[in-house]
Amino acid sequence: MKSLLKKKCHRAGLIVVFAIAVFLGPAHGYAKAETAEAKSECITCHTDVKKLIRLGWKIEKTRPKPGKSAETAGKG
Amino acid sequence: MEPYEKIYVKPSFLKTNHGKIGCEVCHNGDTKDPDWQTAHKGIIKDPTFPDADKTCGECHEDITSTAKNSLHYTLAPFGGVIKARANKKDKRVFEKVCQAKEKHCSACHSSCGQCHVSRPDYVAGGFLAGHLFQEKPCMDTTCASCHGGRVYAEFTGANDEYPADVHHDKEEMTCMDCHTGKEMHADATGVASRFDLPERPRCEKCHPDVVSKKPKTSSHAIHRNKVACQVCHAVANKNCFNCHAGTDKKGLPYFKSNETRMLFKIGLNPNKTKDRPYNYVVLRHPPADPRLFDFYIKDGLSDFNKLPTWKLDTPHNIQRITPQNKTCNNCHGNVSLFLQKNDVTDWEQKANAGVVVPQAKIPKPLKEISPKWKP
Ligand code: HEC
Ligand code: HEC
Ligand code: HEC
Ligand code: HEC
Ligand code: HEC
Ligand code: HEC
Ligand code: HEC
Repeated sequence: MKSLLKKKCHRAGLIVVFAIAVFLGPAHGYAKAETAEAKSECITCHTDVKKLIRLGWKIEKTRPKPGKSAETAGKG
Repeated sequence: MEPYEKIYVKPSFLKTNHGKIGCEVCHNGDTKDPDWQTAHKGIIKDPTFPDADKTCGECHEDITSTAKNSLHYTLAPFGGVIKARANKKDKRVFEKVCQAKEKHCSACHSSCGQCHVSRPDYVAGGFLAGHLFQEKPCMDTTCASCHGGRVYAEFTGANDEYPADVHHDKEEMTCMDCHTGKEMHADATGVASRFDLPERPRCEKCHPDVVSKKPKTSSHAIHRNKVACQVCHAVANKNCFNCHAGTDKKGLPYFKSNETRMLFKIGLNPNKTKDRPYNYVVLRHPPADPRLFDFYIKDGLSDFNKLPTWKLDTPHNIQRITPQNKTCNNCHGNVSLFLQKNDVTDWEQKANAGVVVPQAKIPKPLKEISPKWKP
């Protein structure tokens, strides 16, 4: 219960931050619907299956490699 | 997993608490740039490691403030063990050992994101479910990605000939039924080993009868503070020998343990505490070897014998009836169950002197204790 209250307080704090952010114009903040409406290229691309498939392996090459080598043998 | 699935954001994510926050707030990047390559300049792949304060911490401060010191974040005991065994006299050698440690151990840390959002980097990442935050991490993907070789294999019965844990088989429990969020997020500052974390699960919390005044099973009354639960209720665990680490041609770290053996060895408790007062515990030989880091530096672990190589274990294949508890004398007087000098290689004798069970400490066959006890 205590932590729930604490969380609520934080959210109240965020609303204040949010209000200030909106007041100051287009700044980063926890802006909700705004980010979705103001066109975000991140969202457009990452929700477009066709586009992601087309980019497929090109992106895969840029991704971080697995943390272990294929030469790993045996179990820790 | 197809490459696209790893990074495909489900539109339903955008309607959630977390999806309503702009992508760039957590990841950086340029939301206005339609060219994916330049848009990703300065991107932060995992905004929750090493520091989740500025992202998750804004709303989940209670969790973030402790989790950043959790064992999954710091892996501090690994460093502690390696330091204890390392050559500390020669500064140059010690530095090389630390570098090797960084290279090999840091790949295994977890973060908020690697438990709740993506698969761990250790298995090359990719969303668990289209970026939707998972309240309960998935045992078979998340936990098994890192704990698959040993604990998960024991728990699910993947080791040939050895049964799955009763809690898995009969009760369909998952890791999280015993290892709660509270434990996963716990602050482990000053904790020397994962076996000392105060938030860890305890058998007796769920089975209070065992520690009650008059337990239903008389064997519990006799053994409970002297013998760890697993000594009677677990079966064989996985032991590794001759492990060494190195770097492959692509610069990726590997380790090889030339020999794995399923064994069941009871030994003396090397580290008695108020919470673990037992005289006898189950042991395991982990992939510890004095030549572990020879690829990087010779004689790096010159203080190797400072710690035992047969170490405390809590196998995850609990059974009511096991080969060693079928009758009292399957254990009492059964020398082969107890770690003996001849189970330990010559060069490891010194390190394990405190855990090997001397003849006098092997429990005697029951008729020798008292005629009262019938096996
Ligand atoms: C803007 C505030 C905010 C931020 C930032 C935030 N969360 Fe949350 N999170 C919430 C709210 C609200 C809930 C809903 C649960 C509740 O009411 O307690 C939630 C719930 C969760 C849950 C439970 C599953 C669910 O979706 O209900 C997880 C897991 C979680 N958050 C993880 C994270 C992680 C990891 C981060 C950092 C990457 C993060 N959160 C950042 C507000 C936030
Ligand atoms: C509240 C913070 C937060 C927000 C907002 C957020 N993400 Fe993430 N994202 C994360 C976390 C945490 C991870 C997991 C990182 C990890 O484990 O390496 C992640 C992972 C990713 C990954 C990598 C998946 C993988 O495993 O390789 C991509 C791609 C991604 N996010 C895209 C987005 C996009 C697009 C948006 C906006 C629609 C977005 N994120 C919004 C926190 C966030
Ligand atoms: C990215 C790899 C990774 C993932 C994912 C992961 N673990 Fe771990 N876990 C580790 C490592 C490495 C340690 C050893 C920490 C130490 O001893 O310092 C550890 C330690 C533990 C411990 C003992 C220490 C503690 O904090 O309680 C438990 C229990 C545990 N993990 C359970 C889980 C469960 C349950 C999951 C799934 C929700 C999980 N782990 C996911 C790598 C991982
Ligand atoms: C029935 C309860 C239970 C379940 C289910 C369970 N554990 Fe445990 N786990 C324990 C107990 C008890 C310990 C020992 C705690 C101690 O005494 O230090 C432990 C210890 C651990 C440890 C630290 C010791 C070690 O062997 O490295 C890890 C890691 C761990 N568990 C991971 C897991 C994972 C992963 C799963 C799911 C595949 C899981 N556990 C399922 C009860 C459970
Ligand atoms: C080793 C895996 C692991 C890591 C790392 C981890 N968590 Fe969790 N988290 C869990 C487990 C397990 C639960 C409990 C799930 C259940 O039983 O429902 C949980 C629950 C939660 C919940 C929902 C319930 C609650 O306790 O309020 C939130 C929110 C959360 N985690 C946020 C975070 C944040 C933020 C971080 C990083 C600072 C983080 N977690 C790191 C495993 C992890
Ligand atoms: C989170 C609670 C929980 C923890 C922790 C836990 N158990 Fe259990 N265990 C159960 C439940 C529930 C059952 C099934 C009901 C029953 O038989 O009591 C069970 C069943 C068992 C059984 C089978 C009993 C039978 O009659 O077939 C054994 C043996 C057992 N547990 C031993 C252990 C040992 C040893 C540990 C510690 C390593 C442990 N348990 C930790 C909840 C737990
Ligand atoms: C898996 C091994 C194991 C099994 C099974 C087992 N014991 Fe024991 N027992 C021990 C160990 C180890 C000790 C020594 C404990 C100590 O003194 O620290 C012990 C001690 C005892 C003692 C005290 C001996 C003394 O010298 O004071 C008695 C009595 C005893 N056991 C009876 C039994 C009975 C009766 C059974 C069968 C119902 C049984 N045990 C089953 C391992 C076992």
